[in-house]
Amino acid sequence: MSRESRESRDESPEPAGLSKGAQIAIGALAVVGLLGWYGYTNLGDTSFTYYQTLDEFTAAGAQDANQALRVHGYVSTASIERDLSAKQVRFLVQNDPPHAAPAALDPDALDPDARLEVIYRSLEIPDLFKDGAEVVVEGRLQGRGGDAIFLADNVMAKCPSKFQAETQGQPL
Amino acid sequence: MSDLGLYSLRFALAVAAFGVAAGVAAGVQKRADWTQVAERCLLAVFGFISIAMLALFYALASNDFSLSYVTQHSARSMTLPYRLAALWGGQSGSLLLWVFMLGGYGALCVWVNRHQNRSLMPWVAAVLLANACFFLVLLNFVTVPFERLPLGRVLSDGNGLNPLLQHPLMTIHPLVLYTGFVGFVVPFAFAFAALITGELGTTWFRTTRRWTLVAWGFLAGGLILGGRWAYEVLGWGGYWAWDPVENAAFMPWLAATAYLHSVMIQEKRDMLKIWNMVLIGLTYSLCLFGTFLTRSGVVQSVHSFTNSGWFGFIFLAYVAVIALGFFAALFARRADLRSPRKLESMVSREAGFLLNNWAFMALLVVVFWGTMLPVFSESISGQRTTVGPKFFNTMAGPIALVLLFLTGVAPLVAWHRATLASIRNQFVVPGGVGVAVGLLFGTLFWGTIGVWTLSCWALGAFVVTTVVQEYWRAMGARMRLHDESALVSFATLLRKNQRRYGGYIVHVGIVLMMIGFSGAFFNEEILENVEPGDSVSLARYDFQYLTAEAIPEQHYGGAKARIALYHEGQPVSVLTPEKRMYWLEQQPTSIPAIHSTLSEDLYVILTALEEDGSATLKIYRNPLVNWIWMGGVVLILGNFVILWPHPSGRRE
Repeated sequence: MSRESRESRDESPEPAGLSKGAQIAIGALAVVGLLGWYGYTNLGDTSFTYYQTLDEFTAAGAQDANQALRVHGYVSTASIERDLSAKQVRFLVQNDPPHAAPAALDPDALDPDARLEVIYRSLEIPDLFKDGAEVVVEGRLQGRGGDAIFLADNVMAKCPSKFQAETQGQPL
Repeated sequence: MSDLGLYSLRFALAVAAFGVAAGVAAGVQKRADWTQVAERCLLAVFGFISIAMLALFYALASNDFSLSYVTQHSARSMTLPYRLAALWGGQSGSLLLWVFMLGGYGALCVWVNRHQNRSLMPWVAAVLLANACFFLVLLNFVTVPFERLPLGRVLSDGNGLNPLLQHPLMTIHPLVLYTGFVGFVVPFAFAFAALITGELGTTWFRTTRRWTLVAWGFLAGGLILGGRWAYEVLGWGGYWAWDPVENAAFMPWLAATAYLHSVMIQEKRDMLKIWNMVLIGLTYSLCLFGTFLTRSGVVQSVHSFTNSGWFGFIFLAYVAVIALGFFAALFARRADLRSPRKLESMVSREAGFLLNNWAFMALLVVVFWGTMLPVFSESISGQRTTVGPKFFNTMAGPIALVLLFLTGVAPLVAWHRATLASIRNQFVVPGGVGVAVGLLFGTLFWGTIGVWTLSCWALGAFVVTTVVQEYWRAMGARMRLHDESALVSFATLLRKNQRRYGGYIVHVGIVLMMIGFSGAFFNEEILENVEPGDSVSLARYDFQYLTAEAIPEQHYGGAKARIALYHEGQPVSVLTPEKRMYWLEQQPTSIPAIHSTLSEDLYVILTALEEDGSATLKIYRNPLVNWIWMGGVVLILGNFVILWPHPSGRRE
């Protein structure tokens, strides 16, 4: 989009000499280059987050512990534990909504490896966060295999099955 | 009544389709009678859509739960204003609002131009009606607001509106935003008509200058109201999260702001003719694209209109057809739009406005890239990569400062070529004030203030001083020449040269908002679990949790915490954040309590009432937030000054 619009530019700040198209291309390259350089030096890895569903996350296997992740899933039924003294919330996330498959109604019937244990290091849960809620947890994985725990810095929730209008359920 | 709405939409589509044909025929054959037919089609379409709107309002007001839309978005226990506001609480209702606005703008446009622009009008009508056709196809066949529930499934009550939308601001925010969004269709249609007819002179943009300013002002107002709503309702302590839905409305505003500036160069210097066409095409395409983004679920936003695949597909196809059609016409006419003029100097107002355009485009690219990154990265590497507010704040900050700098510089530099003497004359005082403010706050907040924040304040002071100096000099001249009082000369300036002096007011509004944004660098927050009677402190404030009490309302229940606020030991007020449970929607909602002053906001959220009787509180101290809303009001006032009818009818 930007390239197209810049190429159609009619005037450019540089005096005559180069063709207009070349002037604009140079200007656009300079701006994009400047932005890229600035972004590269100032943003760092933490600004870019992978977004995966829980199944994709599991299939990806051992992940780089430093890679920031956003994992999408559903809160397992009756898995939310609120720990006031430690100021954290612990819950399980599964790939499919609990009401979709009858087996999932019973949390123990579900393959334990298919669920992700999440520790959210805050008590400030979103309003829509509850059993069965569609959530995106943002953070990093700690540990490996069956003992792996997802340490979330941010939890975003969406109300299940309800049509949502604009600007619903902001990140915390 | 609902059948009336259903059939109105059918008729509207039929008439709109016929009107497009009539407009094209009138344009090709240059026939005045067919032009009138196309225009009357537009009026009739607006009439039919208005009937449909009234029918849906009536269904919502009268609790007609045989309609699927009413059942899904309204409930008996909701008060009348919210039942009516449910019209834009859902997908098909908000699309109906979209096309209603489009019809309204179209009808007004036909009426205003009944004696002028006669050769452009058939194409203007055709473009407006073609856009209406698309939305009417959606409303008739894809997402029908008057769809009936199967008889066996009709209940006596509905599901209710999303509690987050049951807020006074939500009764007007969507209206204001859509008035802005849709308003760009008029300048777009005129630009398109100019390209088709080859009447590429000054008519199209002079005719649409006011339309563009109206749309721009409403879009700005809509964005600000949306931020205010997010701040008061969503309970995360902020007003802007760089969410795709927000960015979708912000991007056309950026393109439109660039257009409003660069079209002045075309007006004064007959330059940038192709570029202005590009910008107006881009603005409207981004409006459509934004509507598509918020409804298709293409970009994973926690909060978008959800929808199944092919709705998004045909919507994207429509956006592509409109944009490609416009840019193809522009490409075909590019030779006619070449300007003989050249930029004479880098130190001129033209150059300043050009740099402003580059900066706005850079900002647009950043926002667009960040918003679409999940889609781009998935199609390239198969891995969805997302960016959050940190990316946008980091990237947009410096560009915003460049724009702030240009806000002060560009309006004061002479056209063509500025002399060194004139630059010295214009910038010695404002530059001095900017540096002084920078030094002052740099010393006061040494160690705690970042270089970006300090630059923002210094540049803000610089810009405001340039504006004051402009008023001061012009008023002084008037007072000497015409022997006027200060107040009279001020009013005369605004009245006689409203574009220039109204524009300065808009700039001051932007400065105030930027200062408000910069306050976020000083935000503080705490999360504490407190027993009744206990206190927590933040900055120089103490918050004592007194008690919690039930709030039994008609539509929701829940609890309200009473928190005594002390400033350095002195009682200030009692804050009452609420935790509501909307029983019908089965959704808890936190309503923050905000103690707001000019210098800072204290923002308290009742995160949870725990089972042991304690309360978990999240408290933010947000400095300077009020400056954003003040700046917004100033910006809108400035826009009113610009739009106010000029005493002589036409300017100059």
